Amino acid sequence: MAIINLTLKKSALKSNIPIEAEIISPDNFFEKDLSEISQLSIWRGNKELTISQVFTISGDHVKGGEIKDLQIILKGDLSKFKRIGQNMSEGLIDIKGSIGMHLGTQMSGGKIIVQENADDFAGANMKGGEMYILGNAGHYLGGSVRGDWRGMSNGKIRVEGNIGNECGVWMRKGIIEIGGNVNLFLGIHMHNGLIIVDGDVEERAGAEMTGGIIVIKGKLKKNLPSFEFVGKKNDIEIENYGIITGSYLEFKGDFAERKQGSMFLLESKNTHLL
Amino acid sequence: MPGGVDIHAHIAGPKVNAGRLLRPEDHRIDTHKRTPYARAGVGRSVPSTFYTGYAYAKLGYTCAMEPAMPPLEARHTHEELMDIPIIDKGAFTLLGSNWFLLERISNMKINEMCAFVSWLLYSSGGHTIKLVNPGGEETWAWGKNVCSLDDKITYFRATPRKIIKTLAEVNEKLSLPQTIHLHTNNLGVPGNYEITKETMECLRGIKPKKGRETNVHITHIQFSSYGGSDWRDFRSEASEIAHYINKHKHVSCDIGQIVFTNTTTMTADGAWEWTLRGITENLAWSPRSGSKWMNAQVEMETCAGVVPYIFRRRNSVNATQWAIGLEMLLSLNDLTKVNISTDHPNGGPFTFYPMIFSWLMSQKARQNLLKRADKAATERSSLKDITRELSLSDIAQVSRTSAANILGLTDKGHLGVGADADVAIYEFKAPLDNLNTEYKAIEKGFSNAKYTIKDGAIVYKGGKIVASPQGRTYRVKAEVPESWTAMIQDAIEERFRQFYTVTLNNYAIQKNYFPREELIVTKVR
Repeated sequence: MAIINLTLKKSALKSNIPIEAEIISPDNFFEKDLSEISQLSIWRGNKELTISQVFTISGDHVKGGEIKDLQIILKGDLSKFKRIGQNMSEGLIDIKGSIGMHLGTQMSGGKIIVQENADDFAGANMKGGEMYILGNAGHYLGGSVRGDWRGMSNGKIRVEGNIGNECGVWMRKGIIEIGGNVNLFLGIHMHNGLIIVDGDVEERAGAEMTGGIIVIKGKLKKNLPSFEFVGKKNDIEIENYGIITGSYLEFKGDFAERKQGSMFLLESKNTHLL
Repeated sequence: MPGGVDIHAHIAGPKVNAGRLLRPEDHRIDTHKRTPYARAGVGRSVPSTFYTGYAYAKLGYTCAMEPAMPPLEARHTHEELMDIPIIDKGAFTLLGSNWFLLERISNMKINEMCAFVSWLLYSSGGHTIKLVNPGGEETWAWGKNVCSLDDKITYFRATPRKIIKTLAEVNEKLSLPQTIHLHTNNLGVPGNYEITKETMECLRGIKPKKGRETNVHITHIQFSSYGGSDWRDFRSEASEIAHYINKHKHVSCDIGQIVFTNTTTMTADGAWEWTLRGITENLAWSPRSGSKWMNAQVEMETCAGVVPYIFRRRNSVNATQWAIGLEMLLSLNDLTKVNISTDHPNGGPFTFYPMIFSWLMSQKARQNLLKRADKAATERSSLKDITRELSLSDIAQVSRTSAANILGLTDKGHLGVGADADVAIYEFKAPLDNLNTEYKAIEKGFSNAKYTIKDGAIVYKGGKIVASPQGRTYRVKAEVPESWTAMIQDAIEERFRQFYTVTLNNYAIQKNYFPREELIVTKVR
C-alpha cells in the first residue's frame, strides 16, 4: 500500500476562487514519483498553479506499482476544490475534511471517503466504485451533469448526513443510501436503480420516475398526486441487495410518465398519505 | 491537395446556438485549452464558433457553408460566422416557405419573384437559395405537414411542386453561379425515395444557365433515399436514386453520410424533428419519455427543430442508413456531381470526415464495419457487393473540387492558376498504394493535416493552430432591372408595417457584418 499525503497550505486559503483539481486521482498519480506529482498543474480561475504551490506533499509512494494500492490522503478545508477523483478507476481517496463540487464525477471504480461534508454533484454520472460521505452532501448527489439524460450507471454511494435536492436525477443503476434527511425531488427522472433513505423526506419524491425503487424509512411529508397506492407489503426483497424488513406501503408511479417506478414508505410513519 | 470545401454544415445561426444551449453535456466531452494563437473552445457535435474554425483547419478544410439561415435571423448567423476564424464561409437563405412568395406563387409573375429573391438574398447576406421541406415549414405552423408534391399548403394557393419549380426558374433567371439547394419533402420517412425521384423529375425541363449542367442540388441525399413502408421493412433505395442521377445531367447532391456516434440533429424542417423526438421514445439510449427537443417558428419565413440523437451500430435502421450513404456515393459514375457531407451535425460531426474517406477508399474498412453492424445493413442494401474503391484523387474530387464547382466558387477546390492559396498537406503512415488495406492510416492521415495553408499563410502545423486569420464571407448580388424592384417595393414596405416585428430598415444587414466580403454579382438573363 503506497500513500500520498496532500496537506493544504494555509496560503492557499487566501483566495476565494475555486480550484479545478481533476488531476488529483490515483489514475493520474500512479506512474509518477512525488516530485513529478508536485509539478502537475491545477487551475485557479485563469491562473495555472502546480500542486506544490497549494499542497505540501509527502508519502511513501514510488513510481509504478498498481493503481489499486494507491491511497491519496487529503487534509485541510477543500470546500473550494472541484472535480477531485474525476474519472478515477481504482485506488482510494481519503478526504479528512470537507470537499467541493463534482467529487468523483464519472468515476468507474475505486473508493472515495469524505470525513466531513461534500458539495453538489458528488458522484455525478458515476459508473462504478464506492463513495462514503460521513457528513452531509449537497444537491444532485449521484445525479447527472447538466444536460445529460443518463446519470449514475453503477456503483454505490452512502451518505450518513442530510442531502439537498434532486438526489439521483436520471439514475440508471446502482445504489444510493442516505442516513439523514432529504430535501425536494428525490430520485427525479429515475430510470432504474435503488435509493434508500433512513430519514425524512420533503415533498415530490420520485417525480417523473420511469423505473427503479425508492425506499423511505422515515416520513414523506407529501406525496405526488401522480403516485398510486398499490398495497401493503412486509419485508421488501430487492434483487442484488437483500431484504429490507418492516411493514411498507407500496406506491407506483409516476403516472405523468410511464408508471413503472416503485416507492416503498414505512407504514408506521406514513399513514397520513393514505 | 487544395483546401477542403464543406458544402453543407450547420455551423452558425440560431438553431446551432439552440443546439448549444440544449446540450451542455456535449461541451463537456470535448474541451480545448487556450493557446497563444487560438482561443479556448468546447463542443463536439455543436462546437463553439472559434473552435469550429480550428477544427476545420485541423482537417485541412478551408471553406464551409452554413446551409440554413432564416432571413430574419441573418444578423445572428453572420455575427457567428464573423467569429469563426480561418475558414471562408457563406450562408444559404431559406426561401421554401416565405409568405411573400407563397402568396404570389399562384399568379406567378416571375419578374416580381426575381426582384424579391434578389432583394432577400442581398439583404440577408445569403449565398444560395435554400429550400427546406418546401411548403412543409409553413404547414407545420398549423401542426400539419405536406406529404406529396401536390399537397395544398395551409391557407395558400401553392403546392411544394410549384414552389420548387418557381424558385428553380428564378435561380436560373437571376443566373446565379450555383443551383438551388433542396432538402426534399418527406425527408427521413421510409419510402421517401419516390417523392425524391418525383422532385428531380419535375425539375427536368428547366434550362440551367450557361456554363452549368445542373439545375438542382439535393442536399444530404442519404436521408431522401429510403424504401419500405415503415421502420420494420426499412430498406435502401439508393440504387434507384443513383440510377436517375447517372442517367440525367441536371442533379447534383451531397451524401449526408451518418456515422455511429452521439450527435445533435438540427434542421429547418421542424415537422421532421418533432417526428424524430417521438421515435426516440422507443430507443434504448434515450429517456423513456423521449429525448429532449426544441422546436421554433420564425415569423412568416420558416421553422426549426433540434433533437439529440445517437446513431447505433446495432440498430437496424441506423445500420441501413449508414450503408445507404456509402452505397449512394459509390454508385454514382460522375463524381463531379457528388460530394461528402455528414450534414453536420445531423449525421455526425464534420470531424468524422476522415473516417468516411477511409470507408470510401477501402472495401476492407467497409466490410469490417458491416460485420460488426446490424445485419440489416447487409441485407437491406447492396453495399456488401460494391467493390469500388476511390483513389486519393477521387477523394480530392468529392471532398473539394465537386463542392467548389457546385457552389460556383471558381477559386476554390483546385490548385491551378488564379486559385486561392488554400492548401492542405497530409502525411500517411502507409505507402499510398496500400492505403486500401491499411485503412486506419487514411483516417489518421486525414484527421490531422501536416500543414494547412490559408491564403498563402500557414495556419495549422505540427498539431497546432499557428495563425487565425479572418476568412471571407461569400454573398451574392443578383442585379435586376429597377422597374422590377419598383413593382414590389410597396408590397414589401406594407408587409413590414403590418406583420413583421422588425422594421424594414432594421431587416437588411449592413456592410460591417462582412469584414472580408466576397461579393458575387450576376445579371438577369
